[in-house]
Amino acid sequence: MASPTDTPTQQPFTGAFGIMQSHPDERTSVVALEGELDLGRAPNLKWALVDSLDAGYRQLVVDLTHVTFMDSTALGVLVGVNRSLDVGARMSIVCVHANVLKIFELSGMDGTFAIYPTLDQALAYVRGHTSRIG
Amino acid sequence: MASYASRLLSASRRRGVLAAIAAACCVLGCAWLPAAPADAKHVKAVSAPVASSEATTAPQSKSAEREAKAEGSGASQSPAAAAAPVERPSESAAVGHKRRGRPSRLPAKSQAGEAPAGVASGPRSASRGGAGAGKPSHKATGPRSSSTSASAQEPTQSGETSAQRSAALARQKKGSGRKGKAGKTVTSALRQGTARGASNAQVPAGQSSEPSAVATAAAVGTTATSSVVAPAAAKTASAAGVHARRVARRTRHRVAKKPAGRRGAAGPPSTATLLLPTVASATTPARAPRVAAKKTPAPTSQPALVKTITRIVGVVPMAVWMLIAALVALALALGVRSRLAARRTRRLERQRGQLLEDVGLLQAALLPVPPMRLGPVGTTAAYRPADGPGAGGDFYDVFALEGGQLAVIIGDVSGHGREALPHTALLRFTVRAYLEAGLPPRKSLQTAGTVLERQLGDSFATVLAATYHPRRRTFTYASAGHPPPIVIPQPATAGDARSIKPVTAGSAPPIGAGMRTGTRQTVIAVPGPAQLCFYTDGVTEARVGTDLFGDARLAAALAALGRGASAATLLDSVAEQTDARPDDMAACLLRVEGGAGAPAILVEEFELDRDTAASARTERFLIACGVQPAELAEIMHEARAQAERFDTVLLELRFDGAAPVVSMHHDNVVHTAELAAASVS
Repeated sequence: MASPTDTPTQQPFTGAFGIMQSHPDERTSVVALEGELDLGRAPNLKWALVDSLDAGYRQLVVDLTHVTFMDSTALGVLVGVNRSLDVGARMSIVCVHANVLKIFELSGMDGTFAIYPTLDQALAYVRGHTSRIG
Repeated sequence: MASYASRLLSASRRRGVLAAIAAACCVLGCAWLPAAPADAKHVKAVSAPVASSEATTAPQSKSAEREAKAEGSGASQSPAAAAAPVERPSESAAVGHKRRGRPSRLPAKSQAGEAPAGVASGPRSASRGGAGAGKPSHKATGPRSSSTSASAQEPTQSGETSAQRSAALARQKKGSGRKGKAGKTVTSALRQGTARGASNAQVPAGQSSEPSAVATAAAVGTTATSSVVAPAAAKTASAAGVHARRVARRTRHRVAKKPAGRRGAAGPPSTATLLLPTVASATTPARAPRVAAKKTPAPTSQPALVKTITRIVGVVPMAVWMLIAALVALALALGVRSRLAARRTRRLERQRGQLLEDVGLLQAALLPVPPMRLGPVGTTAAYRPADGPGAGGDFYDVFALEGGQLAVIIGDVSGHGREALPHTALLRFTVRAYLEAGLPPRKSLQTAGTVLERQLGDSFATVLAATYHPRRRTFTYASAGHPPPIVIPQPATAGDARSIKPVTAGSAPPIGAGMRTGTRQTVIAVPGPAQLCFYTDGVTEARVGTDLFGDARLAAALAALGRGASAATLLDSVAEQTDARPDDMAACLLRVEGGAGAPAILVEEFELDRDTAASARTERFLIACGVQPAELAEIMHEARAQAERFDTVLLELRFDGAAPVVSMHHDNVVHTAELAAASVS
């Protein structure tokens, strides 16, 4: 089992809000975000995820560990990407921040997404090693 | 290399442009020539036939006049040496040619240009062309005919010597006393001289007895007028004299038409002393008065200021005139363009106003203004779009139901602006229809979610539906991903502004998110006066600096507004307290009056399917509702068993006392519908 450390490509965070994409293996894409995920930055997340899907990655992990706030627009992006997943493709979310977890809960999407507190758990889910625990 | 070539090219092009500008200046300058020299030319030209008519026939003199006139156009510049003393004899007429070709329109050069160059002294005097400007003019009197011949004998010194040569030839040829022929020759010489464009030929008609008519065509300045002065002696032939008088009258007539300043210069061309006063007076006028005469018919009658202005205008170079003309044309073009732009702006403003009116009508259709009061409940609603006018993705509705109940719908379609409008209307009227049909809020959202799942396309919507039962004084609301209402007892106290802590765990997902919704419902008892605030997340996600406005600040703002609060004043207050409002804001405010007691949660419902019953969400929901951990495992086990058996189970918690009372119900309607949907798919 590949660990998230053996990442072939990695781009650093840039600016106040950064997106870092890494690929632990040839099927998995980890999109890590930092800062506030609001109306102006939700498109960045959308294109990062869409590009990963277009590049053939079937296992997506959205790492919101360093995201302090997320609004309904970003939630909409996650909902849209989650709905567009093909059969066999999986997406999970890493989230520990209370504000973001509250938004997931309030919107009722905590039952829709596979949300985990750690990246390893999220990777295990998208690789099919664990079932849904939401 | 290339740069050198391009430099050459550009240089040649620049030269070409300069040449073109110069040519244009010349053309315009010729067209713009002052009238005064032309007048002088006329005088001189007319005087020529007078001279020639002494010796020749009228047609010939006419031809000479014609030639002189033709020449006159380019001849006005001649700086005749009128400024010089008349008495000073000149040794060389050719000196004046040094100024040939030089433009003499500049005032400094044109001191002498006024004068008719030709000077005729007495009768039988040798004729003489005016000398060049700046040089002493020479004047040949009668006895000085030798000097004129001397000038004719030095053609090399004169640029305009053809006339002189011709005259000399004529002298050599005409030894005989036939005046007619001599006159003819003189005329031809004159013609040649004038054709060269520079000469003043004075034809001494002489007496008929003096056949060797001394004709000297002395060249004048290059562009000079030709002046043929014929000191026609009284003894000349009578027939020609008649014609001469006629011409003289004509000339006088023309002279009379000239400005006063010119009249003296022209002089009466009647007799042999025809041009003598002309020369004398022509020495004085300067160039500037001539320009003034050209510009204004009567310069002497004008004030000094006007004269000064006219003088200044007169010395403006042609290039500056052209520049001014170009600038005026540019200004005109810009003015026209600005006017057109202004008209277009007005038209667009008008259209914008009409569009805003239309948008306002549509917005009113989507966002109705609720009645001030529905039964015992006061209602207000307000909406503030995020960017510019027009309705966005937020929607609300407040309306009465049967049995005196009241319904509230508020929601938010993902995205905002015009693409959200159709979904907004669809959602609002769909949910409203189910509420009006008598379904409770949770069932209304559940059915709407099932119906609208595909119609919303890629977008989804958070919706909250609520009903108020006036007799029971209870609010029942269900949310699909939407924030719960804020309930504030009246009068509000600063400390516990928010008296109800809603259970958000296990919230139902939005409509259109691909998940089954309409799974949660809450019943609130409002026994006493209270205010309920339904809002969209644009309100709580407005920014205070880098922080969110949040529901706590919203509750505080609502409490601060007190009893007189309305949705509009609440949103105004939020707008005042926040720095940025990136999303639409909508709010509905309901005010319940009478009674006593604090609002409290009566019932929490959670409908579980097989997956949810086994999930951590159910556990979180039960814990949030205050279920004791000891009971938790038993309740979860029972819920899973019921869900396995009936597909869905409704978990109901009643808060009558300290601990909630848990009960489970089977929702056969939903169960049947899901079975049908499963069989279809």
